[in-house]
Amino acid sequence: MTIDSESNERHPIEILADEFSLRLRKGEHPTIEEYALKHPDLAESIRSIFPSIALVERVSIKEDQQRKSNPILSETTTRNRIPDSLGDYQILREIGRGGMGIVYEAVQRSLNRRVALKVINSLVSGNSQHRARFRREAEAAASLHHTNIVPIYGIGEDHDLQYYAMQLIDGVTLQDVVDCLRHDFVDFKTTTSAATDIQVDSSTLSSNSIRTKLPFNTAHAARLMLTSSWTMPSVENEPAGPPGAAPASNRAVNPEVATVAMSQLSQTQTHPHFATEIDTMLLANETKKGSNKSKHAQLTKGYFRNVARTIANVANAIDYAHHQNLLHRDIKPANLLLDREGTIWITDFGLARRTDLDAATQTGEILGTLRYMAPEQIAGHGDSRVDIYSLGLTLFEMLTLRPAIESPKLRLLDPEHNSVIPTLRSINPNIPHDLQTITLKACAYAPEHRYQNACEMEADLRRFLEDRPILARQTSRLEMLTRWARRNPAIATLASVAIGMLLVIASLLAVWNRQQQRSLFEIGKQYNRAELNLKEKSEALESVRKEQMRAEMNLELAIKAFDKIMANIASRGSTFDGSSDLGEDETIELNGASLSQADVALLESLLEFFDQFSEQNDKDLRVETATAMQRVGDIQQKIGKVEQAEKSYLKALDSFRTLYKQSPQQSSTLLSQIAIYNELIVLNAKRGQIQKTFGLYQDARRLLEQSPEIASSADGRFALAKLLNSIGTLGARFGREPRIRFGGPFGKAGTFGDVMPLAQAAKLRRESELNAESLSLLRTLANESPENTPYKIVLARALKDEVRIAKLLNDMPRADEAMMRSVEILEGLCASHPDSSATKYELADTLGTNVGTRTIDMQRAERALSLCDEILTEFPYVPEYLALKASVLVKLSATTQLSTGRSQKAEELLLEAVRLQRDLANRYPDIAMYTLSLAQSLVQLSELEMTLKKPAKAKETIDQAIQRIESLQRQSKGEVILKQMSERLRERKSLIESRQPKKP
Amino acid sequence: MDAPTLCNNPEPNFPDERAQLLAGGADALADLLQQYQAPLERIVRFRLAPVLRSRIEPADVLQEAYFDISRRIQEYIDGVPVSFFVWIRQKTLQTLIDIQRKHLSEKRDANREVFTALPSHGQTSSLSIAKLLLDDITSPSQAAVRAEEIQELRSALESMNETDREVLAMRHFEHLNNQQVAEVLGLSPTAASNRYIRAAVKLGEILKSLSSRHGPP
Repeated sequence: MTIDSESNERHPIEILADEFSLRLRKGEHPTIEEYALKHPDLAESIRSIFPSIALVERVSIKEDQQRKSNPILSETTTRNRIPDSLGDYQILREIGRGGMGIVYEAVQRSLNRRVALKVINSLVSGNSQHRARFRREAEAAASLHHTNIVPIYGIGEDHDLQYYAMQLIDGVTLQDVVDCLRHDFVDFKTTTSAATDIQVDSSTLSSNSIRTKLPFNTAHAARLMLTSSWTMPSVENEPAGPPGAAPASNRAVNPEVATVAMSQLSQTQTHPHFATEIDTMLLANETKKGSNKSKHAQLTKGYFRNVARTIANVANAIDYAHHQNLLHRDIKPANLLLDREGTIWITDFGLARRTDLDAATQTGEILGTLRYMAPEQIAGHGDSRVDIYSLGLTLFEMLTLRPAIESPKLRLLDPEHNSVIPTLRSINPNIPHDLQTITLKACAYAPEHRYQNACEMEADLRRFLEDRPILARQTSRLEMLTRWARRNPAIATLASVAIGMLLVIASLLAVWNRQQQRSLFEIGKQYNRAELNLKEKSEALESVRKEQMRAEMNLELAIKAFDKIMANIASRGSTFDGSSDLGEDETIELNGASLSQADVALLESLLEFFDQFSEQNDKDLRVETATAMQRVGDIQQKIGKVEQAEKSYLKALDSFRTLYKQSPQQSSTLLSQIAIYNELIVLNAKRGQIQKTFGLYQDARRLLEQSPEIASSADGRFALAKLLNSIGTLGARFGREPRIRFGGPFGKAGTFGDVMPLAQAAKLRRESELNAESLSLLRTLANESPENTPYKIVLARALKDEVRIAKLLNDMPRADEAMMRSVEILEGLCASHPDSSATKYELADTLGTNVGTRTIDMQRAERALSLCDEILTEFPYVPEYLALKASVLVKLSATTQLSTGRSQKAEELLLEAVRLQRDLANRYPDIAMYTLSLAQSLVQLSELEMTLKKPAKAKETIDQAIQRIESLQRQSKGEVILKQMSERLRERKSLIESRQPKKP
Repeated sequence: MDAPTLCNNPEPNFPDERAQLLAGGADALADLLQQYQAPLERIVRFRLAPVLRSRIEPADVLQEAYFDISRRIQEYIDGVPVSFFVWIRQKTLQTLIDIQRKHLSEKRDANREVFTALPSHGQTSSLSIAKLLLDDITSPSQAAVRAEEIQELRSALESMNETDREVLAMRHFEHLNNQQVAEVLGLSPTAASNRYIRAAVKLGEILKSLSSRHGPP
């Protein structure tokens, strides 16, 4: 570690002592004499102080080493407290330990039998209440009798320790099996310990898993799971019923009967014939070393079937226990033991945790199991379906060899986001489709979407094993979307119309899914069989046609629902897009703050969905895919991921371009391209890349004019008007308009405009022309369809820009006229849509455009400010709203200063604006316009501070502005405007400095 | 990247972590916590009351603390004037105290002497150090430190003034750097640096006088 640059502030010996300590910690052996000799002037102090430092470090280091060699710190103390015998049991040796306590092999003296004795950690057993409850639960658990549940022989308390005795199982945990398969597949004969080591390192997970070191080792168990000859005899004998009919339904109806039947079934399974095969078996793929893929490739069909069978047995046992009103609450691979017979055993039934999670959280006990907990369980409630969830995650892990939930700790922060289960086949495409469906259903986020009892889950697993169609249907991506949408608080505010529609679609989609395709297949088979029977043939054909129609109809609905959701997402906080369909009842504005990367992920999964659908159904979904991509860009832009947004837009643009080339009569694909160009212009303007925007504008315009008929249509003209408006008013839109001028200590009016030299005559003329063209198009459009809200909004916007331009041209009557017209339109819209914050935003923006010194200007600015506060109360984090408020404050500050001379008040307003803008700039470093606005305000502030005779402050403020601009310059290399700006600012700074001595 | 506590940056960039949290939300928080996990765990391990060491896992304390931190993160963002690490250290220690209190009050009736063993806040460090030393005595195989040294250090620490003891504990057992100690104690880096030297000198004096008076036990 190097000594830092400000060492002069620190005591020289302290710096040396620091280095000395760090070297000791690194395992070096620095001597005190070495330091004394190197620093003769400090030698005396070093010799007197360093020995005690060395002593303290030695003690500290020793503690570290002890911890490393002994990961379970409490071991010594706990072990010390365990006597040789507890009650009737004589303890032989420790066989495993977990968060709950330590498991020993012991002998029950009275019966002279070997047992597993679990001694409960006093942390878990807790106070007397807890102990009493533990006793009750253990008694209940002891009453369970099931082939797949480790029987409890008895419970007791001795030496102030609680314990229970259970059957000693010669087996390994599924956790160990998974780890073995995952980490050490090829060579597991020799290195079973590898998996164990890894476990110990991942401390949170392993703490609960019971490790055993018995002759039947993990490698054996792993091979066992891979043996395809390990079959279950009796169930397969059941005649396969017709598809759709569920032979297991009798079990579902009468679970009591089912339980007995199933447990008998499981019993027959405990006599398989693999025992001799274990040693002789050679796995064909075993020798393939290397890539991750080969690891997956080795998971054969047989393995997946074995997993399904094993989990089915677990489900059966769980179902049995649930009927005894006993929940396990901690199902996970580490609590499932596989013995040498291939029988699966559930341990710790009902004992693993106490019912109330509060207590568990208090002790932090929650941790080890968090990965497998149902979300509602994390929230502190839940019923028997929590076991289904945990079993689903266990199944997931067995199939994919990786935990379903990657970051269990994050689940505490946000269970919703961090409980998303990936699709299994995306991890290993060899996993059977039906097993994926079963798994995903078992661990659905909402309990009502899961199997409602373990029996149902078992039945589906058995159906899979018998190659019969499972009952669970695959959750389509769209349904996932719908569920997500319902959970998403922002979407939840969708109008009931939209929600209702989504629900309808979700249920319709029940028809369109894999099962659907299966039934199509069945129909095809029937068709073949009925070849000779003409009547049947035509009927079969008819149903095929019907099914196809239904599927396509559903898809259409699905896409509509998708568009609705997308439009809503896209309009959250949307202010720039004039096409937001205000005026339609369904349109709701949503809180921009709730947009996140998750929305992007969701959409991307939807893209995949479209691709798959196209593949399977010969239906061309390229338009939908391109649209979805465009929306991804919208969201990315909203959440400030500007670079990614640009990429998405370009991709979408490319798709639309291809589509348009293929069928040029389609106007929508052309208009979509123009719309994307428009977004790209906005986006690049935000980033401060003004040059690029002109290129984009020219491309877009050329493109539109290639097709005269589209260009002359209403939509085409509107698209052009928007384009013109965007490009012509970049300055106004993005906070680059020259500020109104005011006299300061630097004299003449106009100084300010010079700082940001954007309003050169040529540029102004061009803007004026562009805007005039836009205005004339929009006026015509508005006349043609007076009820069209988007036309009005964009017209109002263009008028507002007219105000700005006219003012710069010193044509005040023209400015006032445009202002009046714009405000009139917007006030009208506000009156008819009182809840629309987008309209309020537009109005506030317009009102804040022309802030002069007249009373009416001040009134307008005040009104703008109060509108801003209104929409911000509702949507406090939407960046555009915050930016607008800041910009109004800036103008109000200038006006206040100018008209009343109240510099202090002006400073207050400006400081508030700077605060808002600084937040925005920090939050969205990619968006140049926020930084630019901040820099401008800082310049204005520094002017003001000069007026207020605070030259030091003024210099500080201008420094900040320079810093901001320069960091921006580094980001977007080569923007000429930025370079000019920073030069101007430096001039300004030297001006301030030159004034300083004169005004001390 | 490695050991954030060791970075000797004299002017830690608080706004950076704040901006990171603001922009990144829960993800950023999780990242930061992950980054500081090892040093925090060390601190908890050290501060854990010896009597509860067999019952409380530091990882569990961290889990609780993270929960609390995630709930209060806005407080930090709104401008607690210390570095993020120092802030979460403080929150973690508070959580630890709460958990310990809960544990011991549960046991109060059954086990009075355990309750009385609950250290007051300030005592924790010397008790923790003493515990480390006692542990050492009980496991002779690892007796890398001679018993008299340990005894010496233990008595020395117990007779020290609390702030001095804290400074030494933070530097050598928690592995905080000078800047962080300064923040915790609300001192300037210079003052913290001087304080540390003073504490080390005192420790040396006490050790010296102890060994000359009593010799090895």
